Amino acid sequence: MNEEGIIFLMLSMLIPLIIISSLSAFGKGIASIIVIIFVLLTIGILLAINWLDYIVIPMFTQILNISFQPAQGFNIPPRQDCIIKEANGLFYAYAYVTANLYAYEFKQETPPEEVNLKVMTAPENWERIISGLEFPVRFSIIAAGLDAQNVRDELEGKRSYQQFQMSQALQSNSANSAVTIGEIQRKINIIQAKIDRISHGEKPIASLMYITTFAVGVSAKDAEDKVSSQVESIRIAFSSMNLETSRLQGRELYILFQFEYGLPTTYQEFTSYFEQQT
Amino acid sequence: MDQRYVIFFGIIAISAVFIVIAEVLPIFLWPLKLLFIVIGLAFDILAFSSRFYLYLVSPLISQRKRFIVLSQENPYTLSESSDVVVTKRGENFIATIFIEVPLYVSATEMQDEAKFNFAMQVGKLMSISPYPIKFSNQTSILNKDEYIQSLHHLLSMAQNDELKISENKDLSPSDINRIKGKVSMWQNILDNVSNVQSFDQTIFAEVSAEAPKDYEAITLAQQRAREVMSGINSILGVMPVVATGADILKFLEPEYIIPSVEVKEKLARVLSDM
Repeated sequence: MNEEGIIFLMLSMLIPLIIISSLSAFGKGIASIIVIIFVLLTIGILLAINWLDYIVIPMFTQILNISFQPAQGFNIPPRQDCIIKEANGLFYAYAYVTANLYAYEFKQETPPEEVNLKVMTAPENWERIISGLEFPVRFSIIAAGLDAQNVRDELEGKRSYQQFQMSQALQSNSANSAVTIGEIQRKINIIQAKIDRISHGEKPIASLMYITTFAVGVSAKDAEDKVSSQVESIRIAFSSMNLETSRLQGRELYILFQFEYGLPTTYQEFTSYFEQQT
Repeated sequence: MDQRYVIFFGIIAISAVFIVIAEVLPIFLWPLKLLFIVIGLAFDILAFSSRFYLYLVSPLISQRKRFIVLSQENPYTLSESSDVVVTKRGENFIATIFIEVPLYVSATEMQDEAKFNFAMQVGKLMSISPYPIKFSNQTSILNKDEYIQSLHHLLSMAQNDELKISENKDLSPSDINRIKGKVSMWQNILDNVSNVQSFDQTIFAEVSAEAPKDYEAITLAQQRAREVMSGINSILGVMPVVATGADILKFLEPEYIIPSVEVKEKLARVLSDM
């Protein structure tokens, strides 16, 4: 969570805290107990929105049956998991699925031979999966090349911090230190692997990968159902490639809809939308 | 001040007002106090939601309906040169260019080394631009309407010839067989083509530029597109082309990805089989 997120959360938490601090204004009976329940519920919802907004907000719109028109001719149903368009007397639905190949390269501490094998087999696996899908699908990567020197400096800073943590863990005699040392060493190895790759001339990139699938139906519900079953087929098909696939809902769906017609134009704007995948 | 902060602080202030009212009300009005507390807390949740969902919160408050209109405008317009898609974001214009990459290689036909090199080339492609660029590989349903029409035309010509067999006494048995064979051939081709859905695969790149004026954004996007095209050319050794006019629509509109003619044809077949 970034600084802005912390400020938003702290200020929102102030309201429930004010109520708790002045609980005497509600007497000592059942009224104050009900107030406490509502306050705790609000705190729970605020925390849930902070970390799981893509589940909580669509849940609210689904309960209240609220749908949206993001642009003329388009509709986002209450579940906020697909976009619907009516054209030529038919209903078209499209949904987005994250397809994060990122884990292949950067998240895992993988030996180089294994990476090479994965890189080598990826195009063939890819073709096999795509040819097996009998519906329209689009795989997209939004990427931006980063300044290699800046990324390297940042990584070296992170490595130094982890090395400092390591020296502290080595000095402590607690029972958990063996586990901690192992974990820190793993982090150092990952950072070192990234530094080595940059040193070998590879240019660092920030990327966002996702799959869009399109379905058509004689009604909006028919199109929605078809697109949902296609999403499941995609998730099953790509599981063999060890891809992180999850269906996008809520604001991410809306952002990707906007990206169809205009990409973010700077790296900063790009990362502000999707902190997790960059 | 950023609109997000204005709305956030505005809703928080409304929430605080309800809470204060609830607190100053006398204790014997506790049901009313509770109601104000609940409203105040609901506004607090709404304020926090505006961090991510400003595009929903603000119209939700102003429209108070179950169908919220976020925009009544078309999502994009095409430039006069019909090669740039222009959209508005806030006060600025975003111009986007679609570049088709004519890459017709298959990994199944490659040796291990070639596969590895190809994967590396794709990796390099990702870093050709310091600003965000989108690469897509799209599988869409092929619009065979024109082809099917031409098959219908050829079939009816062959059927006409077949009808004229009885009028023409000079035809030899081999000529008659040839004419009848032609009819069944076109009929078989037509049945096969219209019964199977064919897919089309396209690789394309997308670049955008933002500026306060639309023509500035267009010029900037065209400049970026040229840079990206030369990058693609040097890495993959293919000549990318800028998509224009109707070609752009197959990247934007779902009805061009799944042509309605194909769907209606399929529906008609299902109905006739019933």
